[in-house]
Amino acid sequence: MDNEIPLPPPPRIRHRAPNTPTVPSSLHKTYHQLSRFDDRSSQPSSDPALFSSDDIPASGLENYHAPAVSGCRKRRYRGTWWGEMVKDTKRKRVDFKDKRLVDSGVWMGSDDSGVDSLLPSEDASIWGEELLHHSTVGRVGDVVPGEIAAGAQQRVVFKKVEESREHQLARAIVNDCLEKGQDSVDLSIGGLQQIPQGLLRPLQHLTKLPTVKEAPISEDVYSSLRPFLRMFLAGNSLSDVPGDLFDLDALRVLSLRNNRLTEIPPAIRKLTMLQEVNLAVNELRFLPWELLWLIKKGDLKHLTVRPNPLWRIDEAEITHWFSLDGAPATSPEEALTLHTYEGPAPEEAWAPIHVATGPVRLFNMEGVMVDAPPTNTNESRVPSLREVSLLAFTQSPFSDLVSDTDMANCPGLVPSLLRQARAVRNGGGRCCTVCHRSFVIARAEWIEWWDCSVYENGLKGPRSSGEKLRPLPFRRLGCSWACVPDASV
Amino acid sequence: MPSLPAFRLSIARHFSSSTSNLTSSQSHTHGNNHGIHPGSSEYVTLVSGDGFEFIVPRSTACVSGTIRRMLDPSSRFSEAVTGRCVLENMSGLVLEKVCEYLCYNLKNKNQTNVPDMDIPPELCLELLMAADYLDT
Repeated sequence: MDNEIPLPPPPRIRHRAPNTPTVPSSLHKTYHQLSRFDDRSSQPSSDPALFSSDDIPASGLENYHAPAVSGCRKRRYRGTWWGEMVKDTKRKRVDFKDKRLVDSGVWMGSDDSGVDSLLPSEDASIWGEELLHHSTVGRVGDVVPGEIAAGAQQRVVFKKVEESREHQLARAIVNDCLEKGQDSVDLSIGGLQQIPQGLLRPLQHLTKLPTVKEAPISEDVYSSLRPFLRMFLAGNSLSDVPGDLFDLDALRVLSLRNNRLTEIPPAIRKLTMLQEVNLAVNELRFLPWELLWLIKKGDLKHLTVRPNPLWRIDEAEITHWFSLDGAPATSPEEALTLHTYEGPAPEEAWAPIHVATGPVRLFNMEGVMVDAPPTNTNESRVPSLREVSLLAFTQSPFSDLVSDTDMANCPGLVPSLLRQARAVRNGGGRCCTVCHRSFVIARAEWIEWWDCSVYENGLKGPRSSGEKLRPLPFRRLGCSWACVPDASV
Repeated sequence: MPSLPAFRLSIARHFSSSTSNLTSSQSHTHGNNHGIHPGSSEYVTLVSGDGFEFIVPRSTACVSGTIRRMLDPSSRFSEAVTGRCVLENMSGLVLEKVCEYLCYNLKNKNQTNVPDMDIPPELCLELLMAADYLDT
């Protein structure tokens, strides 16, 4: 006995028999199935109640003395108050057998079309299974009935995309670190080709767990819970660094050794706490200028970049050589040798030394290199409208929603610009090395050669007197044609 | 309605007489009227696809390479003659932002510290295509 009060069903399907007797046979069949299906809905099996107070116009008090319409009997209604319908005298009560619920689950259809799509096949032996299948699909997809009502025709089935084994492993490691408060994240598991988006983000909030010791508690039990975050991504097959990594502003040690990186994004500048970086055994030809900024203005003490196929200064094109005090050097040999000193090492034996600067390459508004820039002396720093809108695109929340096909429909060079903007965004953004404005398309690019040998060996000792310098190429990007090497800000 | 043609005629006559007045004496006060000195007026009209008109200084409009070539007097384009550029593929909303950008560009031309321009994210794709068209 079902004592539950039946809930109002969705907008009703007519139960009455079709009033046109001449129904095509095929349509009739559909109708038959339809009503049969509907009978399995949550209708109470007992006779519905009849009340004299039912709102029937003809039976009202004001019509008490009104002459009865010829042969009109009082209309009788059956069903619940929300779904009452005129009783059809010709229709018999449905047999209990026909009314039995095959599936007592929740009614998910809403209108005829929905019922149609849910209708079981002709074969009576398997229709129960098919119904069961439909309902389970609905449940797996976590679709609420309202959604089905909205899009009854397009049944949405969500499939879970299977993650690769490496990603699962990486996720497990990150979760483990978060749970145990471990600030050394070792993802050097090998075979990681890219880092799934959002994997590293929770590490921003990693906190160390306090160590619980038995009494007596001494002073040194109390230690900082701020993590000394270390990230090891060595020995994978990463071809680009995920932008997420640069949001971990507490990162102190970063190892990207033995990967397939061709470029380090300039967004590395955001990691201002960084103390040690290992970029050895990659495919780097130059370093971002921001790394040098971290050495000079940040906390970076140990930079490991060799071996890498870095550009060599004796093969590169150089426009300006600099001596130690910043003045132009007369010969490359002078620039490449540290002057001799006696006694304690002077300050410049420790600091990074600017050795040379390469030629400046300029790009037009579309990011295409121009060979002969116009000889206009006062270049404007105003970003182009393309640049302004691309920057707004990278900062807008829906930049991921623009699909590749939408991009391909755009005219001219717009698709390539959008792809470039997306790459810049995924790499964590770019910032002009001269005026510090955020930008997407670089308008100027040049190489500066700096010797950082002291930092390469981890600040163990100063350069020796008269030592030959081994400068590293650092690429600088400018956001406008005015942001060039000797520009003043 | 027999009286209508006469009425129209009178309006036309009125207009022609006032224009001739303007060209002779009052041109300096109505310098932004593009109809007077079409080729050399210091203001030009940019018209959007849905009919919005923006009257901007010629130097501002010429920030855009495409408009500059349109208005080049030696090109003999109709735009150069009338001082009126119809940009069919832009809506009024986009063209308004474009005009704002043109002014922003001209204003900050010689500044070292250029302020940022505010772009609503829903406009950025259309603006990008407008920028591609206008060559700015």
